[in-house]
Amino acid sequence: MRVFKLYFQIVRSQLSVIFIYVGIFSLIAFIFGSNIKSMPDEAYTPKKLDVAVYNEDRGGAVAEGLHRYIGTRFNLVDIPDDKKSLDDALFYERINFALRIPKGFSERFEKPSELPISIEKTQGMQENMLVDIEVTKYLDTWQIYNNARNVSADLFAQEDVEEMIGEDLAKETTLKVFGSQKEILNGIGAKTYTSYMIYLLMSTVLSIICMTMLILNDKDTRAREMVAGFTDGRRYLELLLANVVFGIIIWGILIAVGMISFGASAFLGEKGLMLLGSSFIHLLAMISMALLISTIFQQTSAIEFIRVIWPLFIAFSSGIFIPMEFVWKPLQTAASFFPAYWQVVADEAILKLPKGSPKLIEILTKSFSIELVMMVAFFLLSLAIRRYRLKGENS
Amino acid sequence: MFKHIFIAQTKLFFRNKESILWNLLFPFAMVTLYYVAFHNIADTENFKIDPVPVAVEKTDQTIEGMPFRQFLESEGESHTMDGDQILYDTETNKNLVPILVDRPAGEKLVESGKVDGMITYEKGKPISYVLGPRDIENYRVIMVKAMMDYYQQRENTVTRIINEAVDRRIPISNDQVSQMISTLNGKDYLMTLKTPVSNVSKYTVFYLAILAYICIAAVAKGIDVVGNVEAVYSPVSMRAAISPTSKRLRFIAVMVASLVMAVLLNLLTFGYMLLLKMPVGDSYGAIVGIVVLGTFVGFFMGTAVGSLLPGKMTLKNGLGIILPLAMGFMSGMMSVEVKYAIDTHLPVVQKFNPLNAIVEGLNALRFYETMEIYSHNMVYLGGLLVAFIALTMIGLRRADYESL
Repeated sequence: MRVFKLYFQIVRSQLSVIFIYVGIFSLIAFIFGSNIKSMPDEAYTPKKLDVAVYNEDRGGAVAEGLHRYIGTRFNLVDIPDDKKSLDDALFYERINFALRIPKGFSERFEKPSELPISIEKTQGMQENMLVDIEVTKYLDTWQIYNNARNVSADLFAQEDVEEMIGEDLAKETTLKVFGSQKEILNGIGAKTYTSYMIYLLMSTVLSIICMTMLILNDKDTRAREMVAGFTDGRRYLELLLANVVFGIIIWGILIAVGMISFGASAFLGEKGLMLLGSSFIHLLAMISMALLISTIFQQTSAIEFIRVIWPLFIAFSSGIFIPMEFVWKPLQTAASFFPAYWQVVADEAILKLPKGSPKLIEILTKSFSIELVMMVAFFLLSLAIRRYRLKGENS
Repeated sequence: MFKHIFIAQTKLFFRNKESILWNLLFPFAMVTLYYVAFHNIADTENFKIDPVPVAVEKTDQTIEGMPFRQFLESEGESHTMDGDQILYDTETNKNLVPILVDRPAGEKLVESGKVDGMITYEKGKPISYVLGPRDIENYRVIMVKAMMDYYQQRENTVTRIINEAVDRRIPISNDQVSQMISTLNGKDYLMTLKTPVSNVSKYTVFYLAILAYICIAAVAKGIDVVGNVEAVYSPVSMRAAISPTSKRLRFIAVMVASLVMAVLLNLLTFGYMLLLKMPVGDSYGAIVGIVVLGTFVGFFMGTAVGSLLPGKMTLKNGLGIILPLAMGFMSGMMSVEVKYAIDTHLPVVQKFNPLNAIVEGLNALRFYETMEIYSHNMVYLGGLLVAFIALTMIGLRRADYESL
């Protein structure tokens, strides 16, 4: 097993690369993992956004009521009313948005087009939706009661309106999830982790396999070993074994980090185990792809170029860094020619579909088969190219 | 001699295929990758949310003619079933696709992932929305919940008015009730202030981060320069070491040639980003300033790493690739959420991340009318630059070799 040992000696010289990647990844996994672990196993409670409200219409019934209502729906944060403080709070995300209720708003409320509430907010689809919904809901309801009082002022007293609105808006849709919320959060945690692992595995396993194979594929090194009695076939088998062992070691370390960060239960439940299986199949396909890349590209600079660009391309096109619905369709099509895309498809199905459902089995069979076919295809292609190269060298 | 080395180094840059690949192709490939990846979300104004299919359980409230049924019919998109496939117009402006079914069929639809969840509304109980296994902070969930909240809160308000009218024996006709509600349609209470930040997507951080990454990626060039100057790293540098030229002069000449190239290429990359209409800001002078300073910082970080860190050149070259990527990862180059998580939980780490300082400086240019935060980051980057130059000088002086 001399070549096998030599392989790991070369890998040892690149340990710093692995440490930096795994270190940063672990740090981030701990942060996300602790967030998920701290969530209760209860029905859904919406996240409260942080907001600054500047009510310039002090004493106005509508303005005061809206201010108090906003306080019940969001976390009110006290930010001094000057442009710099407000800009800083928005820039550093101490608040998600700021509302300014102008002077005279309550008085002229029936003609709101003349005097709208101004709002300054950071970007974020959810945040924008929530603030628009809450403010509009409150003022719309106030408007209905106003209209009703216009029909007959005897219906109710003006001073009761705020309380009535509070009671009306307290009626909310209850949100529940099928099964245990904790279980679902565990599934989401494990799925997010294994998705990000694709990028990390590419940046470590793929790049180190490529670099190591590049060194070991050197013509002189090979010639020396053949003189020492190593046949090319045996040498290649040992290298193959070393690549797989190396890949599995890194994969195992990353899974251990995931289990510490998100809790072992996230990976040892039914969905967790399926996600691990999916990730493992992708690992094998990726090792095969690394072999192909290292066979095609024989220059260090080309490998270095690929080790940076390739994982990013895969991560952005396969829906790892941004949700799949945001990915440009032609880019998705391009990504579907590589195994990572199919791991993401399989993981999505594992998360969303019930265990044993025909749809899940169909998607998993399709995705895993494609990944395995790709693995075999990459391997055979690398063998063919290698054989062609060797023939060229020998003739 | 300075001129001679400077010209030779510049010629080497263009004659070396590897250098062309890394220096010319790499930044353009990265920018193009980001441009293509965010093709869909560069303009949030045009981003369209697909309608959300939900199962609605058949109850007393969903019988033909009931207000809740009418609400679903008016606000929801109609659908047809093709076997077990739900077909509907995805281009519709409506946000919801309600599918009226009994409970077991609804649960089946949720479990099979064909709908997001199941809505149940029974008399005297609040509306419930049971979700399939998906991200519960997702905008699709918020949207469906908001619609259901809207309905039951409005229903509560109208019922209260009618009850009050009945209790107080005040006659109110159905038309009057309809009028009370219909006058609200399309009323917009909120005016979003036109601050620059409200006009751009939070995904803009990706573009800023890639520009910052390209600046800091000059680390690799800095390491290369040390490799060219220190005799221990290559036969070429060994030969240069015995030439009658001081190491300092050789370093300065190689460094200037390399740095000029790095700055020019990064400015070219910035120009390419503008050509692609990437939203990196329009304060061109200030952006050029931070790109130049950022490139200097990245470059001298490389010379500091190259001269101070013991070990082989392959290890240092590896670091030259890894360090900018790691800093980029923490600054939102791969995920905005990662940047926010590091900003919140590990602000100390972020303070020592020059790539993040460039991102913040660029972001501040888009956000603020004043240059305060931008200047603050420029001063910080300037401080780092001085520190890295000093470290390089310490690392380069009087190196002793046991053997060459």
